[in-house]
Amino acid sequence: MEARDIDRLKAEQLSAIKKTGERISQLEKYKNDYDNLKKQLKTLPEKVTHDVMVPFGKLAFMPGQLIHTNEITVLLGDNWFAEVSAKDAIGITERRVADIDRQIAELNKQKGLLEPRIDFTSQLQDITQNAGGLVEIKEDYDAEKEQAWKEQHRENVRQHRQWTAEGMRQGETEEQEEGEKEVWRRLEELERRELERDELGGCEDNEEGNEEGIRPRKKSVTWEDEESTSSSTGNSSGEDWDMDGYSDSEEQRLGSVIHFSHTTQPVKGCPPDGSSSEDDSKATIKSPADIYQQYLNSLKPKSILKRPVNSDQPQQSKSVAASVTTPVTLLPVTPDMTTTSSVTANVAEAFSGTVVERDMGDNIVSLGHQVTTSGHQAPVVTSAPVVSPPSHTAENPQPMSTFTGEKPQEEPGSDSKQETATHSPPKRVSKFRARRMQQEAKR
Amino acid sequence: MVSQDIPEKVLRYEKFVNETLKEDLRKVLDQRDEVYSDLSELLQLKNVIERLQESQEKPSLKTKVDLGCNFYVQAKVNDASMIFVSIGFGFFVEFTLTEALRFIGKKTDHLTRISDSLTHDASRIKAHIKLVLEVSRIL
Repeated sequence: MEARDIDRLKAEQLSAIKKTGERISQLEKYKNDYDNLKKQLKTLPEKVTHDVMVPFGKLAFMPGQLIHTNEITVLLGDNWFAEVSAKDAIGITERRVADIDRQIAELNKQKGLLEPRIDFTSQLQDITQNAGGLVEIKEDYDAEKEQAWKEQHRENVRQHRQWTAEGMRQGETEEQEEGEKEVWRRLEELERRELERDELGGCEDNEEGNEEGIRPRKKSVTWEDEESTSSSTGNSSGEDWDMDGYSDSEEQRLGSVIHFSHTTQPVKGCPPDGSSSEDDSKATIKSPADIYQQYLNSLKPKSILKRPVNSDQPQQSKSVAASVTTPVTLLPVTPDMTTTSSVTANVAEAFSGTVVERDMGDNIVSLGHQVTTSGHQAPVVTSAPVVSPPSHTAENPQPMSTFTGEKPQEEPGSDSKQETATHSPPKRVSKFRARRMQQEAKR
Repeated sequence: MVSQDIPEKVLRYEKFVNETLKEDLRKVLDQRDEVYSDLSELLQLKNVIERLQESQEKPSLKTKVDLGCNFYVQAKVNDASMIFVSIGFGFFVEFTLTEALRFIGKKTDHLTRISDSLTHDASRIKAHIKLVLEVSRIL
């Protein structure tokens, strides 16, 4: 930093301090004015009239009197005036004086902040002028000199290389022979060592030598071995298999290869723990809708107890009887869905294999809106209650199914929930078909 | 020899411009501003007196007096026919309104002349500055 710059900085700082000082003195002047005014306002209402010279500008005045001495018009700012009493005017002046005092205090603080900077700047000046025993480290940069140096340097390097190359060429013939001999000696030595090691311990050597080549293969082998034993190390990333109740411990150790064989194997080969064979044959759970479907069916019989006979609102749930040839399942089906539905292959999957007869009252209720004459007992085939394997997520569908089973007819509000519960296309059964079945059974 | 002198001269000229001419110009302009403010005061007074003449039928006059800091109090002038006008150096003369108007007219003329001459001075100084700068540029 140059001394000139510091001088300039100092000048700026001084001017800032000066400005602050000016502002302070201005405010002091205002304050003085207000103080004078206050005194005047105090004495003004003491008399009704005062003899004064009424000024007209700075240059002229007339002799006159002040009247209405207790009515003072105060400029509030922006050409708005307020007419107040002398006492109120004094209040106004006091408030303004307080404000001015505050401003003055702030400016004084500012001044107090500015002044130390001057000291600091003078210290800096000392430093730059080496007065304080401190030296600024400088390095001059001259572009031309730099360029010349670079040229010189390049030349030197080139010369040096030339020189070394020449030296090499001179000693090349002897050195070459020497070097070749050296290389051959080295090679032989290495070969010998290798042989020795082979003799000492083949496997160790093998591992040492081919470590990199073997490792990936080894990895896959170990995995396949350990997969059957499945020593469990608590793994956090195997949730997708845990759903099937399969504990997979190898995931962490091994790569993506393991992942593949695991997904294929456990599904078919080893049904791990809780899931029954029925369940497996019925359906693999592919979606939440499937879960609903299964648990709805399994809990159906429970609903008989509380269902009131009410044929007014039968829409919610229907007991559907299917033909003899097809496996039948009791489904809560909403009308709009059943009209377009067809029996798909998944119906078979959904069937649990157990047939339950139901009370006739149920059928009246459930089929009321379609089968007006169905008042007799109809065989209703429903899926057996399937014991849910603990590994499945049984918590969620449970309340839903009991709700729809117990009192679906009474509450139209439950319609939406029903719909969600039955909203699985694979398990629909044509309700017309069911009706036909029932009517046949009656006759 | 000449080529060595030139930068020195340029520096001297610039110093002259900055320290003398510009300072002069500033002074002159300040004076002119002062005169202008006097003039405007006078013109304002003239306006006031003319208004007073228009409402001559009433001898008395009500006005507001500034107590300072824009606090105003009503004031009443019983005899508005006579007015004291400053003639300078702290002296005031009691005029009637017409006399006051005549005086103000003269005074404004005078002030206008002063301000004109000051304007003239100012422009001359500006011209000098221009000239010197131009010369230093040529050099």
